[in-house]
Amino acid sequence: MGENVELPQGTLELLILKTLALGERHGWAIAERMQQISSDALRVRQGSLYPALHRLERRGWVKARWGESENRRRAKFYALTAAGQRQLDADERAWRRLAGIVGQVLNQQV
Amino acid sequence: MALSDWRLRLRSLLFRERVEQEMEAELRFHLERDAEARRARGAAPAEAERQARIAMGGLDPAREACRDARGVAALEALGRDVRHALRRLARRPGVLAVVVLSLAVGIGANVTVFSWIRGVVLNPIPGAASQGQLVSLETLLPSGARLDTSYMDYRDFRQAQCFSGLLAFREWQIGLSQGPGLGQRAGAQLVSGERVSGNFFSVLGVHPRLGRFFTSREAAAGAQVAVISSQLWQRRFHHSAAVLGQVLQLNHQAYTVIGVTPAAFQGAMGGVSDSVFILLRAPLGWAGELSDRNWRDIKQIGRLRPGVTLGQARAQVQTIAATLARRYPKSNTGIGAALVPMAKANYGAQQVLAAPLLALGATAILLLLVVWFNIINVVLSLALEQRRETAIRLALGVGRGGLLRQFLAEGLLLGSGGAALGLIVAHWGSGAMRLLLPPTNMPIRLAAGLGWPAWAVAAACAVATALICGLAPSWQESQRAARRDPGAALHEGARTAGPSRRAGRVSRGLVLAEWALALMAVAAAGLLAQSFHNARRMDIGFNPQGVLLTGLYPSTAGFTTAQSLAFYRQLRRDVAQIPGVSGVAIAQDVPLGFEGGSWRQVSPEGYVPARGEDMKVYRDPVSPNYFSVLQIPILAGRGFNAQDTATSYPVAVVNQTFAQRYYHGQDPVGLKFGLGGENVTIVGEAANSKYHSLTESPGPYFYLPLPQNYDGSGVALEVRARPGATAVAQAVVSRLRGADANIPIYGPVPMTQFIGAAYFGQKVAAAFMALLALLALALAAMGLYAISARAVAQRVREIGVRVALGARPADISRMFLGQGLRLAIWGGVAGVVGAFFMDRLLASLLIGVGPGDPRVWLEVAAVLAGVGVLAAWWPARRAARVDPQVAMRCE
Repeated sequence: MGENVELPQGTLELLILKTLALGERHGWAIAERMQQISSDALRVRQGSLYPALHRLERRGWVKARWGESENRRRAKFYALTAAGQRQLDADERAWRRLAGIVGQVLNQQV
Repeated sequence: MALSDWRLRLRSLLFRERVEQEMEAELRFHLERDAEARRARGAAPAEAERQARIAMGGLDPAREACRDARGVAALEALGRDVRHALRRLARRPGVLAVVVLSLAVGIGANVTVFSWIRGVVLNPIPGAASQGQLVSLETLLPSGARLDTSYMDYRDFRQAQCFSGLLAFREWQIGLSQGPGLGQRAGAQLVSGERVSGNFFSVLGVHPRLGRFFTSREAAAGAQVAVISSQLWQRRFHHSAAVLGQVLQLNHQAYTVIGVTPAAFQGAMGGVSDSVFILLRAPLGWAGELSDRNWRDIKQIGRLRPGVTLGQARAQVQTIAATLARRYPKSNTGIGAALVPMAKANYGAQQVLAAPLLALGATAILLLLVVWFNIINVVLSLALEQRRETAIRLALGVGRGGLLRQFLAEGLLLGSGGAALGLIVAHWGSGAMRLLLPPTNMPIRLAAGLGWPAWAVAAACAVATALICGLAPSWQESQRAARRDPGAALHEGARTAGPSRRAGRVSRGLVLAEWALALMAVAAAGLLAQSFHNARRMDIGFNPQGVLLTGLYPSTAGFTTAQSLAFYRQLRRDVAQIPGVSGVAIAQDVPLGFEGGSWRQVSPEGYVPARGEDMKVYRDPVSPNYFSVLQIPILAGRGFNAQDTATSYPVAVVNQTFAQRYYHGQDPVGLKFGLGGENVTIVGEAANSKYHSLTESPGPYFYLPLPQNYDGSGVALEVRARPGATAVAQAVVSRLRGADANIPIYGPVPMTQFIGAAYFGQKVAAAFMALLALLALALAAMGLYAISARAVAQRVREIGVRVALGARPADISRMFLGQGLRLAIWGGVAGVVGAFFMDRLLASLLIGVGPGDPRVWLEVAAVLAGVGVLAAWWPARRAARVDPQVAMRCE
């Protein structure tokens, strides 16, 4: 693994969208999952998770509802909307392309 | 921006509490789960919670970040400011009421006058499109006078390239009765209508509400078709769609209704609501002389082609007029053309009211300035009183921007409140002009009602108020904060330091400016009031007191000229027998009414007109007894009598100026002049009187016997009743109805009321100007009172000391009175300078007074001095009675 990577601003939202692609989750579950699938390398400062979620909700990429969590407590669940799915696909493509180009450039250096 | 964005923002604004709770719940849920997870990994409960909080980065920063993410931070801040401002203002309800009320008055006055100006001057033809392009084309006499044009001249002016269309119209009183059809009652009704050219509606840009307008074939043929107004459609046909195709009897001629005009449209005559529109060439009993170039009774309105300036158009029409003068020397020599915007046309409400309304507009602005100066002073002194609170806020880090926002919020509240009330004031006020109208048989409809531009004016005033209220105190506070440690303001007794010198000077300067403005307003009102007074008492050359006027229109009931004349003869005999009647006469034109008169070209025997001299003289066909009924002295010869019939030799009675100008002061009786090819013998000389307006300069005038010169139009029955005679009016009406029930009549009205038209403009100006001036003076007095009272309050300790040292009450009050009066006097002096310029505006309205009239100015000075003394002295009086012990202890 290695040291924890600092997460640049806009990418947090992309990762949240990706996490939600697999299904509806509440905020804590999103944080856990992100840690999980990044093999613990990502420590999201959890104070910035919720503002990001609220921004995503305002842009219409996720929708929220209040429901019951696994341990019978009230929690706010977030789910991906159709617009969010489209945004995720577009962002993913862009990222991959960018990463490819940057990787190519970096590989060129001797 | 996505819909969800707006929805969520709205939710954050409206349901703030709930959104906060949700955020709290969400964050806490996260913390709990995190702490649980850590406990599961073996941490102690307290430690687990602490770690969870740290992982979140702190609960409060998280909360703030969430709040920022909601996107309503700025709005919420504004909302807080507004709520605080409301609380602060509510603490001083008296001040709040005074400020809002005076704003309401100031804004209301401006909105009212603005909507009058817009309705009467800028929008004289409601319902027409793009009125800015419409111009009035009038005949220009060498003397500079502007008149109507002849129909033949109109046909020539249509060739001008500068117009995309030129219309002609003439107002006409029409007797309207129902043809067979809708089964209405058959009574004849007198309506005001217009005879128009075929392109009338297309030039004005009006589209039919129902049916259609004239075709060019109908126009060329003079077809008997009519367009009616929405008002007539509603009154007589109750909005029935079957009106199209209905046959109307107009002056006993059958006309078919083909269309209805939109509700807003009331004809081309500004301020008058006309009900029926027929073609100029359509027969209407008496058709007027469409083929005589000397018969000038047509008004023309043109629409300028886009891109053509007024100057270019003027040049074109003047060229055409010169061509006509060459081609038709007998009728058009020396006749030019004048082209003016509709607002400056020679007829309609705009002609009567334009100058008074502009004067009122200027004064309304003065009033608003006085209101604003007062408000600035109020806000400044309020800010001074709240120094401590402001200092605390500054210390807590609000910053200059925050202070400014706070004051702006206050100003916005005051401004909005004042503007809202002001719109209500304006709503009442805009109908007020109708109260001053004299009775007239013309259906006057002055555009009232507040359109969106009125709202825009009110909103602009509200915003300006907000800016003033925001900038003034925050400027004052920032001056103080820059110069001094905010902590000093918190100390006890800080009040004795008093306001900064500069703030005091600003306040005094404002009050001085207020007094200057108030003086200007009061001076204007005084001049106009004196002018109106002069107008009422002016010698008009005849005596309208005790005369009853009744308008008769027999031709609209189908009478021929001869029948009408016979009817008039019989009517005079009948009415003369009513008990209480001392004289009866009939005349075609009434002096000083709203309607104009007509003129003829004269060639006095032995008189050689100077080059370009205008030989057109106004005249009035009258019956015998005319001069005795109106009490116009006959200076030589006689008036008309029963011997002057249609077949006897033509005679005339001329006025003094006629005799002096054309016969060099000789006795004109027996001399002759040429009139339309005939030789007329003068049989009498009448004293000069006023004929058309109070401010006209003396001009020649002559009278002709009615039987020799009657053209079939409406006449006025003038009945002089002996003082104390009662029920003469009803008797007149019953005789008329007895003679013929079908003739539409108007009145009877007392002649004194009828000729009120002559000074309607003065009346409007004087009445409303007086109101505005009173308000301005009251507000200025309030400002002076406030500043005096504040001075007293601030120097309470000093007064205590003085009294303790032996000063008498009179000395104390004299000290303050002197300071207050000095302000008022300097303000007055400044105002005199301002008034000097303002009164140029009024010069055209003044009758019998010049702008520098000493008597008026003396009165103005006395009024201002009196009010000023009262305003300055009242707080001073209180100051004198201060108990020194109380004063010393007081903070």
